[in-house]
Amino acid sequence: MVERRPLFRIFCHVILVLGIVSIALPVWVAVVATTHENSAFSTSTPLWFGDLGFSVFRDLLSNESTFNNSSLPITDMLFNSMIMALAITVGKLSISIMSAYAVVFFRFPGRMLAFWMIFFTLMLPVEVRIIPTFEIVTNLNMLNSFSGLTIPLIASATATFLFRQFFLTVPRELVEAARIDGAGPIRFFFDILLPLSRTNIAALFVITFIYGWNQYLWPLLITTDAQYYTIVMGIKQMLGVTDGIIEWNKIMATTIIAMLPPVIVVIAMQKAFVKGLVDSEK
Amino acid sequence: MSSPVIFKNRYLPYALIAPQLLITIVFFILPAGQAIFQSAQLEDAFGLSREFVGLENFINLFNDSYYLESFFTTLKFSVSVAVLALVCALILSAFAEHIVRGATFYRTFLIWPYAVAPVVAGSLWLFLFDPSIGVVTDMLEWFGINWNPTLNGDHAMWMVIITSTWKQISYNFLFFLAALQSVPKSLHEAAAIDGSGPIKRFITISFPLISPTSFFLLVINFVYAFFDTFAVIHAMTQGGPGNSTSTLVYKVYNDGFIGLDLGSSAAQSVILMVLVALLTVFQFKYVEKKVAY
Amino acid sequence: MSTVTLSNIAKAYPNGYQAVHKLNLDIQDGEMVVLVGPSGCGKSTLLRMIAGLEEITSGELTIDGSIVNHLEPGERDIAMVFQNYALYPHMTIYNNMAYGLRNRKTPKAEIHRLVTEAAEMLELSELLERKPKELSGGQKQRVAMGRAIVREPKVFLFDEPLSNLDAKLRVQMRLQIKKLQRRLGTTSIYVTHDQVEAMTLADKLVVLNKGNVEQVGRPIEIYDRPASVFVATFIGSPSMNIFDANIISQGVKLGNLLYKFNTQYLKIGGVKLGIRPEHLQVTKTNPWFEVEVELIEALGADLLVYCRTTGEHSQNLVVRVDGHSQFKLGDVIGLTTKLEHLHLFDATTSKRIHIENNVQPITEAIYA
Repeated sequence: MVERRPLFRIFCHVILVLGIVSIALPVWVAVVATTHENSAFSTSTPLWFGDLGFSVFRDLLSNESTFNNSSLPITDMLFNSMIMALAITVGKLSISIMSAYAVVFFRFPGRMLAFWMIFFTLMLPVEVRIIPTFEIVTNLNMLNSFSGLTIPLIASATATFLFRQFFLTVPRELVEAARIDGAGPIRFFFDILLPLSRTNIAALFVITFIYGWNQYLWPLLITTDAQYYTIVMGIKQMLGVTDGIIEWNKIMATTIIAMLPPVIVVIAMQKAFVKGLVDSEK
Repeated sequence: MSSPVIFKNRYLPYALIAPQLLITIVFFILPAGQAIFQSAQLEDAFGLSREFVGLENFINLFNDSYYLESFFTTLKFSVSVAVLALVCALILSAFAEHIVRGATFYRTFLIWPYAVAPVVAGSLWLFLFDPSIGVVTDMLEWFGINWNPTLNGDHAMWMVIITSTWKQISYNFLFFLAALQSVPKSLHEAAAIDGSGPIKRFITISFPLISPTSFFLLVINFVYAFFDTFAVIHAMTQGGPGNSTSTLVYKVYNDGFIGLDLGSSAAQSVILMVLVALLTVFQFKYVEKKVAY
Repeated sequence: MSTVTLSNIAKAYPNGYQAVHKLNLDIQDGEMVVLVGPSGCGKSTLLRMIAGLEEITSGELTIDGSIVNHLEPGERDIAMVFQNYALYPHMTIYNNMAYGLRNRKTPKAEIHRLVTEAAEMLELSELLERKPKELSGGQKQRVAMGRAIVREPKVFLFDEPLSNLDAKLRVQMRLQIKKLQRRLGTTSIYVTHDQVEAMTLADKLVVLNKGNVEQVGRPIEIYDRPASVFVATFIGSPSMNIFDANIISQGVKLGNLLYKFNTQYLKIGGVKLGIRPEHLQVTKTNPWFEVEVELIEALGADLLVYCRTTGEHSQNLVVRVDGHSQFKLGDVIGLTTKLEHLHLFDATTSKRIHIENNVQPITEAIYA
């Protein structure tokens, strides 16, 4: 704030509040919907809370009620989502930090080739190689398995580059001091580099967790067995109802359940998230 | 990349890089090669016979009015999403920059949509846009608009555009805010002494200075609209009604998985790869400039 | 306690750049050797080769008689103090000092004893639980030294350890390093570009230039009898004045001014003549040559008077005189010096021409 302009400042607040309200509107409507009986949606959507409270959530989470055509209880889907998101996150961070370590702290024949191959993955999102990747996963017998759900998604140029970027800023003297202190490459990695990378790891954790949790196309392709359905896929399934009544209150409750974990992670680790997002595009 | 040889070890670096390389080769490079290979083949729907057809799949694609239409659909969709998401985010960040007290509060409530899965966003907005009971539908009825995205292609298009924009604003907001905050305060002070108010300062000082960020975000938003919105479209419209919301990525999926036209799908994949490659190269060339800036 | 020997040590980079030419150096047990030279002279490269951080291209490096060329830095039993301290930012001061010992599997109680002792010696006892970023520059520097001390290594290596400190602290730390080194008696190799640091710390001074040793000796020897123009101008502040002069049969001629002495052992012809600023005296009677004052810098104790010789072929020079001398710009003053303060260097090779033992003055009188 360069000068004092109280009116302008109030105006700023008004605009931002308007922004927040319009962005939050869909969630408001969804939350309200979960407190109504499904019969409330016959002609229009109520905009204020009904009298069901949290009972829709309770029924869904205790698996007392499932929605129309789902064969898998919602808690199982949440569990699958959690496994998938965590496996992708841990896997992605591990292999990225390892390969960035190799590229920055070692010189070896083929180093640049490896670097460019990793770079290449930037240009190949799942969306552009759907069928052949599916075929390979089929040939490897990885359909309908957690390994199939996660392993193909854990290679990431972005994460590798972020770690590389950070490693390049580690003062050379720190490595040298460690070597003189008798630390070899592995000890240096665990004793010095890993603790120093904490904030970067946290930042990437947030981004990757969201990425993993929100995966849609890939699980859609390779899981046909309902046992492996994730919550994000479950929503699509509910929306796909063509016959029978759409249970909006349950759909919205499930939608909110599905979005809560990543939203909580982002809000709780806001600082790390902002850092990760901004850094990873540098 | 100029640091000296630090650790000497013959096998360790290979062991460290092997997992990532293995996954990259098996799940990225091989399939990409496969796509290129398949794009030159014609396979019957049962996978019983294949023949080499050269560029025929590509020629067929460019003679296919549906495919060309899909190109324009993608363009219309992407431009709208990018422009809308950038403008909304810019306005919000321009005002947020002036907030000192409560800055974190506003940021928190503006960034969370980033974490929402595209399908979840689709579900939320589908409810609002429902032709019979949606809140937005009711509001539009007041204005005499008979909203029905299941029948009206334009309505469907607007629906996916708004949903995709909604999700992308937070990302743009964060980058704009960071860029605005890095504009030296002394410039604002100098301009304030010269008598220009906050709006004028934004137009004459901040906006030109953050142009590198704006440009960078434009590219990122295009990439987002191209590839990351598959789930929105798949959940909300399945490319319909008609083919009105069938973007290139949706079409690759649909032709390959539902239509089982592998040759055509592979050719489409190859075209998409070229597009991403162009965008990536563009982005990286630009990022290099940003470092020098 | 140990000796270090460098025989024919050379360093060439893959791009062909020769950072250090075949270099020989013997370092005695307990000696403090200072490597000094301008940036790019190879002093840091040399130190880093001794540490094992740079590969030795050719030659042999021995510590205590055994060749260590192919040992990892951690296996050479050396400790190093870096210019930017290189403390592990995430570890406490205690752990920073203990890290090397732990890697060596030193027993816990022993680590505790060593760290506590070193901390006491360096007045760090109160800071052991802090993190490096909570410390001042001087404190960090002491921690870096503590980290070296606790290891009780055969050799200490110092890589410009005081460069990041402000002037006052630098003097204090210099004294502390000297005291510590005397007390521990550990063989030390110290790299600096600061000639005052070099002079004050060294038992043995090694002046390096372009990857070659220019001169090795006690600091005072090097000051008194610099082996080349390079050393003469590098050591001493302000730099030695160097003139183009001529040896003739009656003495040395600067311009048309003659300084008379017996030159029978010297080659007649052009030489480089060096005189330190502090060895020129202002005199009213019988000056050797006269100069015009161009600029005066008052340092307090001393005045630095920048002047130019009068007459044709005038040359610039600096004179250091008492701080309370009265001069004005434009003053013309007469200067003279003693024979033992003349340094002669070969005009082409710039190497010292030794005149000390075989040249007698004919007379102290100086002729214009």
